[in-house]
Amino acid sequence: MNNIMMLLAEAVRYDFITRALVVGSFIAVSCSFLGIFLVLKRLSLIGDGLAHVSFGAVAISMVLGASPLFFTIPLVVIASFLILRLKEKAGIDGDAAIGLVSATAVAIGVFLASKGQGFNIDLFSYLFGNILVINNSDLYISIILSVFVTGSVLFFYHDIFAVTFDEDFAGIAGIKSKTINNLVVLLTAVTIAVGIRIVGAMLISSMIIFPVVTALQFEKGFKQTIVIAAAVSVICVITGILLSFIINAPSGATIVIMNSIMFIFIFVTTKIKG
Amino acid sequence: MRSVLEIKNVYVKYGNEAVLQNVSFTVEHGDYIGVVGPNGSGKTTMMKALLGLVPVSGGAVIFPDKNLKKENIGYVQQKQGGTDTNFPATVREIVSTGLIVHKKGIKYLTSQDKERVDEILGTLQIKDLQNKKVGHLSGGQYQRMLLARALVNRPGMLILDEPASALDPKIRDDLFLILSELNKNQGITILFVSHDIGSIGKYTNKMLYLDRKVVFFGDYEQFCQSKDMTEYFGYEAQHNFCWRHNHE
Repeated sequence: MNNIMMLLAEAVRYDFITRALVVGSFIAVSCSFLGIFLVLKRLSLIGDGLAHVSFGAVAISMVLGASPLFFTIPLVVIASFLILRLKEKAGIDGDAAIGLVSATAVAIGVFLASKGQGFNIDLFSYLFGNILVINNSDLYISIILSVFVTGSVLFFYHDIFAVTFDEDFAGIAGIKSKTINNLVVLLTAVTIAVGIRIVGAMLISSMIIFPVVTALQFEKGFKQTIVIAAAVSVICVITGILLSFIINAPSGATIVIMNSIMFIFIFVTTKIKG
Repeated sequence: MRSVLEIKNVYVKYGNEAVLQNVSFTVEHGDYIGVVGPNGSGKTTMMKALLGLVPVSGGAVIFPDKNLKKENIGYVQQKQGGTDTNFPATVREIVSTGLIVHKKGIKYLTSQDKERVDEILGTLQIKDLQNKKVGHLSGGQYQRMLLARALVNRPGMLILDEPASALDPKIRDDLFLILSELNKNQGITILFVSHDIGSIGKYTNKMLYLDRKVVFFGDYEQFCQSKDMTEYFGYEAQHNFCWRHNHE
């Protein structure tokens, strides 16, 4: 026990760990705020699709020698709108549209990466997450964007809630459901582009889905569910990052495993309590 | 009577299929209209078209009364089974939405709004359910919650799309009584969609029979005396319906 405490004390002395804890916690809150709407609207898969796009975008930015974060955010935002337009205008089902756009983005990324420097450590770190790549500018950008995402959700909370429960009712009252849906997808795109630094493109969608599904087990009201999801997510990110340091494991995978354990524990205990 | 809603030669198409063809009728203030017709006759599409949720491909939907705009209509839509059993919201949260969506800028409930929510929960006898999750409600409780959400903003008109279809007869009759009171005491105009012509006949004062086009629109006496309707429905069906309307 003493050894673990010493390791934890040592961990937080490292700047890269404290940066990861701060960025991870902000991303965790953003993901939970958005996740509840995406899960309830059965749009969770868009997180997965946009994460794949973000990986493709990172690959392209590395070939071009551009900053991954500045390059990834606009590309993922464009991809998110492309998915929505394909769904609305071209009559392609949402899941198929996500598949088309994300597969194309990944294919372009892999193609360009293989023609350029090939797959290197940097690219793999975006695939599975690597807290070592987070620098101070990433930290500030992550905090600003997370505050923007959370603030937007809070500002439009009632409109988003109304659209999530009943689009028709919200539409009659004058709420533009399409605009609200676009806003949620836009904020998701930004969050994912920032979040892949921590957990990686392969696992970022789990940060959107897991905490919300775990929080839903408590069967509370909407606001309480968001708060529980955010708390669950922050706890999993912090314990995941610290554990990954202690056992020398990848941070992204460890965070997701913590989320899985948390979900199983809460699912079983709430079912037993009945 | 002043007209509050005019539907003029409305056409709605899904692809090449015309779901509504040249539909025209006028709703007057205080009307309680039963909108009936067989499955697939375009009843729901008609309601959505006049609420602006479905685009019309021809004709016009006009709100001639400056006191009644589309935003001032309370709408209870057909329940789509199993869509929200896991939705993490309480009855109170959903009913409050009916007020808060109409606010501008930073949206929040004032103490008066909260009192209004309490009042409507009491009127519909669901105050003891206010903290219950929507997924845990029975069919009747769920419909009352949606009705409370539609009424909380004091609408000038109510549009109810098959709200009684999932209810047992006792709860259905309770719902009809609540609606009749709202219509008579508060003057709320009601359009009530149902595929069950018999059950709504004794409460409503007019009938719109839709089968992609308007087959009949008028009061029950006209319907019962219409030879065209005898020909359309058959003598027995018309007679049974009119007998129920007059005696039940």
